[in-house]
Amino acid sequence: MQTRQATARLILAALALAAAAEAGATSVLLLTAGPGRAQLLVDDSTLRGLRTGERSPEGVALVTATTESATLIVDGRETVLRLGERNDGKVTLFADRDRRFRARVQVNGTPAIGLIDTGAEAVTIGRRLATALGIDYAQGRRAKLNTVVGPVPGFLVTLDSVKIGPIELAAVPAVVADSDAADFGLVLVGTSFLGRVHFEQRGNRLTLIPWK
Amino acid sequence: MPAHRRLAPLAFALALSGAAAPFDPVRSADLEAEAAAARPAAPRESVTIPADARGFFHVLAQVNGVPVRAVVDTGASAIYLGRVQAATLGIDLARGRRSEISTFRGPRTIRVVKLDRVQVGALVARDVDAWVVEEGDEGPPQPLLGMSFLQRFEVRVGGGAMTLTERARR
Repeated sequence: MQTRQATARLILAALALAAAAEAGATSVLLLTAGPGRAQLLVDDSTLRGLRTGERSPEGVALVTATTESATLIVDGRETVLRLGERNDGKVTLFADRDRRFRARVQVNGTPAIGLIDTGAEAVTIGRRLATALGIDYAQGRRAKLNTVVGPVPGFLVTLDSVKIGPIELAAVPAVVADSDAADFGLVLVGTSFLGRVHFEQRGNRLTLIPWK
Repeated sequence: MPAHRRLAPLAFALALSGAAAPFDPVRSADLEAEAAAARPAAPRESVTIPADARGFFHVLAQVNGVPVRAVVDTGASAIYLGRVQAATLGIDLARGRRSEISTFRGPRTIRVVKLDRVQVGALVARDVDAWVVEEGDEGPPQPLLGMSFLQRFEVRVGGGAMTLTERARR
């Protein structure tokens, strides 16, 4: 009898899991977290505050949380998210006070701050930052760059890796601007990167979506 | 406590170095708009713009009824114009506040003005911030359609095209 009950429970659990997998892709963004609580944006539309042990109507449950991360159950699967992270391989950015979108970016593995910029053709970097990132631009081809703000002299290079969150692209065309004016410390994430992903902007949120 | 109030700590959590601006990550208005979007409603206007060979999005816009070719630029906070372009559009610079900005080609003195009406296809935005470069010939080759315009719409980019769509009405 006990065995039969246990079996029934197992089948139910399996069915629940299968249903969860079927319903599939629940997206979760961890907005804030603290001991025993977390604030989530579920499916890019619903704000949910959960305490440990609570479950949202979408079936997202909070297991544990610290000020840096939260352990959740999403679609029946345990998922650990750090602040600002999503569970679906996408990256959500929030607009700054100046309405623009900045992102943590890794250039050849070295962290920098990037600016999402459809007005830049290649990934564009000032000389000083390029040096700090270990880019040997002197090896690059000299060119006069026709930027949307006018011509800028520079060097054409190819970056082995440009990474924003979990989205990593290889062999990304880039430009090192040969001008002091361009040294404002930001990596302009231009169309040589943006043309190889999808993105959506709605109000003050911009989401980068990897190309499948 | 309203949900959006509790988001305040996020400003710290997500603030990046060099970008210490406090911001309001998910306004409740956004969420309401999205809830409204989930309901069936009148079809929303949209415009699709193909990328050129360099990945730029060129649009034919109308500023106060005057047609102008512009480039979509998420890296620009506002619509960004040269002095001559502004004159063509009948913009009165004297009314604008003077400010300094840094661009990829160096510092520029600008006037911050409002454009009454900016239209792309069937999409219309009113009272849109624009920055006009004061130095005679130091403006952009073409006006840039920056975030002050784009943030009024939903923007989707992928597969070599950009689609701008009206935001859901509340």
